[in-house]
Amino acid sequence: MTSVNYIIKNGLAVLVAGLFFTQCSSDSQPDEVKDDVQKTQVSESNSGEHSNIMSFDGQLFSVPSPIQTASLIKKSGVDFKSDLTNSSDNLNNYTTTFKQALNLGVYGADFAYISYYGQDQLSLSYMKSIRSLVESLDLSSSIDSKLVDRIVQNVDNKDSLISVSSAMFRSIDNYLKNNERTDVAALILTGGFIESLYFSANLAKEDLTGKLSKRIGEEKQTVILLMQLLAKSNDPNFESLVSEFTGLVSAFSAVETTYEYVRPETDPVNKTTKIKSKSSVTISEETLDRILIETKAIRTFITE
Amino acid sequence: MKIRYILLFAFFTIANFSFSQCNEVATASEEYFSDDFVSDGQTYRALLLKDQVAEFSSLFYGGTTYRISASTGTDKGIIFNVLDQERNLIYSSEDYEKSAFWDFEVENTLNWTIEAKLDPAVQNSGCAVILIGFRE
Repeated sequence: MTSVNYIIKNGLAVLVAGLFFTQCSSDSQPDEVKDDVQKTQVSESNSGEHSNIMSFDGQLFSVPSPIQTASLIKKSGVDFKSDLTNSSDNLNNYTTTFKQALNLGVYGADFAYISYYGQDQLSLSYMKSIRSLVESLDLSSSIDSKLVDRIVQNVDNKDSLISVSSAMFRSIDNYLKNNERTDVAALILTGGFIESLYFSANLAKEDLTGKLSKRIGEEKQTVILLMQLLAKSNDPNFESLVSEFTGLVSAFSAVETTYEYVRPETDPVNKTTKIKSKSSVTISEETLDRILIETKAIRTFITE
Repeated sequence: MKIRYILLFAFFTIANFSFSQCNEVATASEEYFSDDFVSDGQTYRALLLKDQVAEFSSLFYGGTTYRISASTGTDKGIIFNVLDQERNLIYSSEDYEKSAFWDFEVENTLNWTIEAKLDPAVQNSGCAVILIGFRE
């Protein structure tokens, strides 16, 4: 019995270790990029006070949902622009797993943006593209057919549409992690994130509330960590993508952020904690312009 | 040689069992998310032994209420903590009867770290699954 326990314990330990990616060097990056990346790495190492801290699925962070950015864009009051989305005509250009995974994320973000503006028929067209890429990536079994039916049935109900499509992407993510295809999961998240940033960066100057500019600045840490995540792969395609990210991280280095801790208030009866801590973002017009240029470059790399 | 094959077989059996266990826990965790909360589209999973802590960082946007759930498939088998970017403890489920989920009303956008660990009094190994949903 003892030896069985030993095998189980050590087998699990090896398995968990096997889930980690190996860290890549950032020697070829510009100084400003290195500084930000190093600060993030120091922050990570400070967080690991003891050696038994692990990351989830070898992934040190999560990527914000494109749905939240789409929602903010709609609330900011800017008009819908169909030419910002990646045309579904491009679908047949994506013949490799690398491009298919990235553009599955892109089309997911497009779907969220279109749905928030109530473009029902266009939503259906993008859902078809999503389904097609899901099949190409051999992910069909990850999605409950009832979920797809609910999307078609709820095409005129924005809230249901958003909710069901996000559940679908969670199913895909879960399936990929279950089958040790975390690289594909990372690419889908990357595609969705870049498409959302592309929307925000293009529309920020039309947004009189300033919320989109602030949101872009808030993504600084995510951009740095996303590049680090992608850099952990040895796949040459990933290396090209990381090199595209270098300029974006450099552009984000001019964004300034502040944070002030305030004690939270917890309501145990309603299982709710109110978070009072404060944060701020300072981002100049020039930085916004540079972020837009760099985001366009990555987005072109992904979609063309 | 035989021992090597036995170890390999055991490893892949454990791997298969563990991933399928994660899948079951992830599916079961969805019960904590009503239609009010939209999924962030991701599942955060880690295979843990006792004493191990899994963590990841995430951006939480201001003006949003988030629900975080933590499960291992065993009742009250997991403890999860939320820490801010300065490692101040924002919340620990250990202080609230190891509640399987909790809501957070976020006023300003913040970077948080979410930690999960097994309660060794309940289980010594298992798959920890964290899910995040939001409503605006």
